[in-house]
Amino acid sequence: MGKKENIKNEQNKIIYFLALPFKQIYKLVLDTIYNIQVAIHEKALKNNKVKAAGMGQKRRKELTFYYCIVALPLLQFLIFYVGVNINSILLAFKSYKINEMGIGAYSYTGFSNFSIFINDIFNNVMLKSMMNNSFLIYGIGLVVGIPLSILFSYYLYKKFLFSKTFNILLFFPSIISSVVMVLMYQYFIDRAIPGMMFNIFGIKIDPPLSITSMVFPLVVFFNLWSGFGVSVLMYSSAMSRIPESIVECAKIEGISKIKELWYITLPLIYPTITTFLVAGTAGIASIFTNQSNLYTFFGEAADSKLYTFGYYLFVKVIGTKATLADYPYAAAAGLIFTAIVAPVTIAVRWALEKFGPVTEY
Amino acid sequence: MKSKKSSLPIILGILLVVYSLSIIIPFIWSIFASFKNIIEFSLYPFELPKNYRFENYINAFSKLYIPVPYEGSFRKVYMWEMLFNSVVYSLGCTIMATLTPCLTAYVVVKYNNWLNKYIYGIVIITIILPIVGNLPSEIQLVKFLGIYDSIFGIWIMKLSFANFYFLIFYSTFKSLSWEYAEAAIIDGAGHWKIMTRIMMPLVKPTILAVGLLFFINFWNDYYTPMVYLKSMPTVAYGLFHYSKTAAGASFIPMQLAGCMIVFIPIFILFLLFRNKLIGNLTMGGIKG
Repeated sequence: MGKKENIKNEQNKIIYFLALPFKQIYKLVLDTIYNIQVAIHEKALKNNKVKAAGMGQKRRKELTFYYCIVALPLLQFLIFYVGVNINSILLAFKSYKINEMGIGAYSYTGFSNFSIFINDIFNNVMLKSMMNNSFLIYGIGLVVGIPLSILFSYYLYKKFLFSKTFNILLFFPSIISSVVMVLMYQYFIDRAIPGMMFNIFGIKIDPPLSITSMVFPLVVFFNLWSGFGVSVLMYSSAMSRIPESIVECAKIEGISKIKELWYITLPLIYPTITTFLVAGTAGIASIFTNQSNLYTFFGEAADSKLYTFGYYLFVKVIGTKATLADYPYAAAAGLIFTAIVAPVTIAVRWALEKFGPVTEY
Repeated sequence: MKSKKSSLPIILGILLVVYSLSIIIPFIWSIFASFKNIIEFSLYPFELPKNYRFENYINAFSKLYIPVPYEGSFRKVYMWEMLFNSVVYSLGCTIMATLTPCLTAYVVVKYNNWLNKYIYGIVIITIILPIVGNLPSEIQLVKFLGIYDSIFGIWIMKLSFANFYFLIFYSTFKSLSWEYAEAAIIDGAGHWKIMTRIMMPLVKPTILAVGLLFFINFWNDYYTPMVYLKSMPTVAYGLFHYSKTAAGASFIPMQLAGCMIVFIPIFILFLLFRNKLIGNLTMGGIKG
């Protein structure tokens, strides 16, 4: 409070006063136009030139307005959601062949893509490591990321020391582009840390990202480290909706902060936690879609031991070596993943809702 | 009764300090590094720069380019053009992505229609049902429709209502009373006028907050331009591509200068609208 607020108020005042005449003129013009239109309408009503809209006409105008507004979004939905998904299903059953004249075409080949992919999963070594990596990243996010996010959010919610500063700092990574975050992180680790070790401790170390065994942990750490902003924002706003009365009641009873977190805060934000666990970018589906920024780090050239499912399918479709023939394979893989993930998500969601704390407020 | 002193805040506080430092320090290091020239950077990566040179920033505008396919061969796209592309891309997509759920939620809340429950159902299903692996199909469809590699195509793709923000607008509009409109209806206002002159101004804070989030998101997004809009690279995509080329990969200080160029507009926006961003998105319930 105090000085900073005063300075900010001064600045706001200057901007306000500068803009004031323009705002007033703008408002005046719009209001005059509105008043003129109202006057015209009333005069026309008086002279019986315009019928006060009867029920039929009123409903028709309403419907026209409604359909005008929803037409484009619905059309877009039909094309880019329904259409894309139907095409995806169809694509999974096709294969792309180039005939003698050099012209390529898609033709239906039944379940061949699926069998190739399932075969790959069980026999291809690379896909096995992909599976490990994908599940590992999800697991670490689940076991480390979510509790830490909740704890940090709790700190901000309780407005402990420096909360305002931490709030801004936690939010920072989410407004910085992932390209920028990755580049800063990469160069800091590869250049600044060896430099620091040498200057301060006199130890010479290799750039950490060039040590193959360090790369995967460093990437996983990056994903955790840069991902706090969004989840903390979610949990904070959920916690801020908890009614004060419950908290005060508990305080009177002399509850400790940890107990309050476990017995009051967590159950009351349980729906938010469920949503985060199950859907969205950190949800179960992310096992198969998460590239964990591998593309941002390495482009196409990530070491094959680092691959995750998301990265693999992405490079298959977007990479420079990708051809139209790869699309059906990727579509089939996507279909298989969806067939696994969708029921699991719904089942987990049902289970969480059934066996979790029931809270309504 | 005094509550027992628990060590939780202290532990968390320390963790938060460590985390904050881990964010600030690389960031500040990057700023300093962007002022060094390439030789100084290679020799002394960790010290403060001996002279502060702006040459990296100036060079970022004249030397940082990426090749873009153009009429059979390539042309070079430099920073000014990428900045322009970023503005066009971000502004256009923000307008589409913010207004679509906003207007759709408005009519669904305020008007009776058989479509309403289907629209709401579509939103819920889209959010809950995870669908994986759409990329090849989407690319195929976009190419088939002839909107591949076109800014209009991207704008159309962002014209989507079935997302989380629909629910935000839905609950915002639900808490608005229709009485404001009824006074205007007596004066002869049509539906369009009610929407634009009465209802929209009432939800301006929400529109602003959502729009800001989208704008920041689109400005920072390198993924979508890379997949769908290669001929009109934005700054984020340009920086990414440049850092992977042979010429750019070794020129780290200039890359870091590029990073700052990407970041500064967002930082300015963030400073201006900080209060509106953090804590204005509530989903249900009226903040007192």
